[in-house]
Amino acid sequence: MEPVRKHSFPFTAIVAQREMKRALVLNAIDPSIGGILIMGHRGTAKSTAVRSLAHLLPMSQQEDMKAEMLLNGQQLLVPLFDQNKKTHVPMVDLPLSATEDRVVGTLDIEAALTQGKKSFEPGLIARAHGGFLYIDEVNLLEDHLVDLLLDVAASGVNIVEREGLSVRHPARFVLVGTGNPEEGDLRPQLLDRFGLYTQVTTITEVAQRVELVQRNEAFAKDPARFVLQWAEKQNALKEKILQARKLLSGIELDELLLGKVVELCLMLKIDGHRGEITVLRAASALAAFDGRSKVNVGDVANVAVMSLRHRLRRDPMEEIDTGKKIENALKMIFPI
Amino acid sequence: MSAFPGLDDPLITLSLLAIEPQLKGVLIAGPPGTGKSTIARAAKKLFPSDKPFVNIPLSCTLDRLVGGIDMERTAQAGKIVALPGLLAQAHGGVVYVDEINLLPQEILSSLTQALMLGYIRLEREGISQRFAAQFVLIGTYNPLEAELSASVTERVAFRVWTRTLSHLSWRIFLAAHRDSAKTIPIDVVQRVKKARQIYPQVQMHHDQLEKLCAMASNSGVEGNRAENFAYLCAKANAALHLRVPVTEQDLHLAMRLIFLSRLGSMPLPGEDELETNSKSQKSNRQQKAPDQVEQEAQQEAKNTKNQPKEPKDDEPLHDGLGKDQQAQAKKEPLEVSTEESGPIDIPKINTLTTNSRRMGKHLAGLNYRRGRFVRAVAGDPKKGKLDILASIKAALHAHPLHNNRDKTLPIRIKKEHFRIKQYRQQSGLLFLFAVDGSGSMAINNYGAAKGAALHLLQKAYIYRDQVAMMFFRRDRADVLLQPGSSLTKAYRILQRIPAGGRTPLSHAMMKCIQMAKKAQHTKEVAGVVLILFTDGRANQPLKPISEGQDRETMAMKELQPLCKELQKHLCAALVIDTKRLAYQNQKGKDIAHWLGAQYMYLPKATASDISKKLDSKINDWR
Repeated sequence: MEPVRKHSFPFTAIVAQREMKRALVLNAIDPSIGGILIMGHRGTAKSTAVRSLAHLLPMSQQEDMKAEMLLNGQQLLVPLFDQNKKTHVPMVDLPLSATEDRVVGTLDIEAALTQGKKSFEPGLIARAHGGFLYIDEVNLLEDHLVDLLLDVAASGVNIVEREGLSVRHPARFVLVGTGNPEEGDLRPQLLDRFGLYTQVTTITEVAQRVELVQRNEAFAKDPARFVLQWAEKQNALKEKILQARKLLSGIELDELLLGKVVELCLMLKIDGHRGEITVLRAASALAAFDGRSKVNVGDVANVAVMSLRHRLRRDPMEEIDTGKKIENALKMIFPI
Repeated sequence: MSAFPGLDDPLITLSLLAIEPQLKGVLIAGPPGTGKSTIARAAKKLFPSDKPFVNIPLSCTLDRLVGGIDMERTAQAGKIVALPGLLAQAHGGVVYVDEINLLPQEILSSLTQALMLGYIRLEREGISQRFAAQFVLIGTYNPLEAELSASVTERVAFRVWTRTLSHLSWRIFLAAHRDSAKTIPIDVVQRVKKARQIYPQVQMHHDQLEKLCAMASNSGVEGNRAENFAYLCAKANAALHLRVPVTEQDLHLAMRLIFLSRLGSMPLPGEDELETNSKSQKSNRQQKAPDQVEQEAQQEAKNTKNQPKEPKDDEPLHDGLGKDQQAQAKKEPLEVSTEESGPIDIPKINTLTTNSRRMGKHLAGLNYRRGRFVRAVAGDPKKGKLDILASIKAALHAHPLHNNRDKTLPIRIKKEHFRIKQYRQQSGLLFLFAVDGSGSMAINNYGAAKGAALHLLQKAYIYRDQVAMMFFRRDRADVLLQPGSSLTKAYRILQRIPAGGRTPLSHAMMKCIQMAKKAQHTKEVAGVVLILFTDGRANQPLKPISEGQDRETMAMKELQPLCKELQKHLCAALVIDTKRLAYQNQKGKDIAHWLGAQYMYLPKATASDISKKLDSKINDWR
């Protein structure tokens, strides 16, 4: 079989697209933010950014992943993967053409045929545990797969009851989706699952476009060399994320500020509590990224749009951009 | 350099692709019989002879495309053996799709994903493997049949078109050389071979790159892939001319082939006559013959040289209106903003209610015969298609093998182990709004149709419904909104409309037939529903009328067979008669009768009237 290219384009070498990069980094610091949906123009490095993110994150868990399996009336604990082999957290691609059994896992037919053994062959969801599950063109994903993902993402556990197998294993992953909104809309219940939502647009500044072409060319010509050139920047960002992770548990949040965030969500008439929770988590992660132990108004202002944009009620006839609406509300709640 | 004037662009772009495969591909558009497929097939000669050239038929299944299980070898080896699909077979070479616009959506998106990634990730039926799949895509299509989605056009460097050659001697030459082997002159093949060797040495000056990027910003293209393509295109063209330095000429070519072709939708050559003077500047440019465009491109390039424009940051790219479209909106005196017609009422639904949540759980359309494979379930093989692997798994589970060292397979498959494949068929409907844009009620009709369309789109995700909007006026019918289910897109596109003029109902019905046929062919939806707004006054026939003939009589005469043909492709239709006086004429009723449609007389139709009507009927149509 032909080897697939080894090097991926470094995250730090992506030109501009600040908001998208920031949203990805925040999720890397705190996975409980709940994932990210990147929608926007075609050809704006959405997939490149997502795929390169995992390389920034070293594998933290040392424990093997185990599944509970019910076999001949006995409850067994079977190991699924050797996590120590991995150098960075998994970034698992969920192709649009994936079948249900590959997503949740199935009977390992090879073991059954050659060793007469009943065992579980883990699916994509198991592989994404502790890392990211990435769906490109997420708005085109088949409905039965969406239903599956929603169930697992909500519970953090993958329960497989098929082909006589009875298996359950932990499945906590950050859901990342990209797409172009002109190809179709996401079902609201899937939209709601994503913690952050960023919009990307075409870079129009000529100098940045030139830079972009040059970096692409350099990468295409000699990927190994290009990756080496960016190693220093990559390591610096890696280190910063690790530091931020350590800081995260000790982040302080002002009662007053908390009240204001809730007020903001009320003003925007956002249903449920996921809105304010996401704003607070993302703001805390941003403070940690900056090396501060206290969340400030600036952190909240910086993450409010990406945390709330997709939670506003849809009104297609409204002229005003949802981002502007949130910014206006911010100005009213935090007058300078 | 080519012996074929009409095929110049296709041949140039194919040569450039054979030099730099990172240009990803070319889509060749044109009416039937203009040599699209001939040149596409002949292009094999331009690529290195040891590289594959894989043809993907329209009937290709997802398994064939991305790969699946090699049943024979799996049984022999006692372990799962994957069978690489067509895309993996094409690695290093070319994938060719004839009539690519008719390829079903799921096949097309798997194809474009592989095109971008350079590999296929196979996650199907117990297989988890990656196959390298770097290839160049060559697609041909007839834009009159159906437009091609931007998810494909934007991901390949080139879109070019062929046209009918009017010069007699060329037609004779072509007819004589219809044998595909002869359509690419041998000197071109030789030249491309040489160019491939030169290509790695080709250099572009920094100023030149800056110029290309400025062109990208000035032409307002979507995304940042275009400048990469332009860069590679200019370099490949230098190599094609056996030069190492990139020259002005190469930049002009990149400008024309990459940026100009991305300005608007594909032009249809030969339709110039249909244009009226009020058509926008943009489409006039698009309608020009390629050689004129060339001049224009050079002119354009000169302009950018003389007065380097700063890119404007405040350009509202996010609302999707390029500069040209904005200019169009300003210049066109007949454009009527819908704002003038007052607020449009849309019945609001809160999408987060428990009810819609429940409806979002998608169970509709499951069956054992047709559609996209979902899963294997226990069942009688007579009822559907046997899933062999799943059946073996079930049997193995019931009677595990012991000590299977000789690797034979003594599996006892009993009746209860049979697993059959469950499929999901699309249960969505395509709602095709056709709105009469002539007469005094045009704006009102449009507002009502737009409101109803947006209302349907708000719930489109439940059944994957699609909405399209057609507007007929003056002497033609325009598809404003191609079938799709994006609310964002519909909202952007339906903001402004043109109005006024005669009623070319026949032309509109023809377009409806085309769209309904395409929807049936690609199986993206289960059926098509037509919602026609008209005052019944068809007064613009397709055929030219001779003296003494009455315009209206002729128009109605040709309308009848068209409506009857259209009816065959519809699952339901609604005719909304908007004539001002009830006793004016009975033509709306006639049209409804021919279409087998339900007739409603609503001189002042509102969006909520239409939406209510549709909501009450929608479940009967599914």
